[in-house]
Amino acid sequence: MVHEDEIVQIVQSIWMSILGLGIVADGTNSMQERLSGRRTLTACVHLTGAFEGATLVFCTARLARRMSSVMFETPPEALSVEDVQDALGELTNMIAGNVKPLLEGSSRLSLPSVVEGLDYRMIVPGSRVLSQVGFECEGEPLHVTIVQREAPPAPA
Amino acid sequence: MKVLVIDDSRAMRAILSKIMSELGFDVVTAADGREGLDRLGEDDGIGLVLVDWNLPGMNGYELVKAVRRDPAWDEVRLIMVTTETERENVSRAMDAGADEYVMKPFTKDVLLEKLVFLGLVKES
Ligand SMILES: [Mg+2]
Repeated sequence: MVHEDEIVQIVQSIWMSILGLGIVADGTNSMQERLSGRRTLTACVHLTGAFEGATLVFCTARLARRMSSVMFETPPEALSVEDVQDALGELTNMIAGNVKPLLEGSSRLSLPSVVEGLDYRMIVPGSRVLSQVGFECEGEPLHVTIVQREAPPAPA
Repeated sequence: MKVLVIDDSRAMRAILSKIMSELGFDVVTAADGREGLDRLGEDDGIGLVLVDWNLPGMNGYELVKAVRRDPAWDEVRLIMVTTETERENVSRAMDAGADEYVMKPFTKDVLLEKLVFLGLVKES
């Protein structure tokens, strides 16, 4: 179990030191509702080893572009789609790396993968949500979800 | 001094490059361990390498071991800048020959502190 407070602390420290942006947990879990109808990015870093699961970050394309603009020190409109996806992938990598020591045993991180679109669902097959925190940054929604793969059924 | 920044994230390369050039370093970059080793082999002016752990192909830990196997690179300082925060892995990297270890997220001040400690930047 990863406590929500721990996720909030990790995310706030990354946003402060890397982006210099404030981000607050706003107590909402209605992610589908908040992101519905909006162009969205989802970044995923898998964990394998003692813990099997993933760290997922969902946010609006507008916020992703704003954050990568800070990282690249480039105006948002001048960034390529790849730049924006890369930046969100690296932020997710940092969250996953700092969540990892809170989990039992030793696990490895995958390289980040990022998808972008409108009204899609991102599913890590065979997993359940372990923790989920809704945030607001620059007036835009962002969600962090930790999922854990369900143990395979014991052989009969 | 010339610094080689190895990270698979372009955004992270941009951040580290900016900090290092502000500190007066000439910066070259690579996106993975293999490319990093090639850069190091091509350019004998590189005195410092900042390397991520989690990279496609050859990872940062393997790069540290490869650099330390070659006596030609004895003088090259190696700093790991990574999200790998498990204590056991930090010790593995230091045992393999990394000179310093910086955990992501980092601030410019934390990085500067390590550079001063290694004598690569004078305390201002
Ligand atoms: Mg990386």
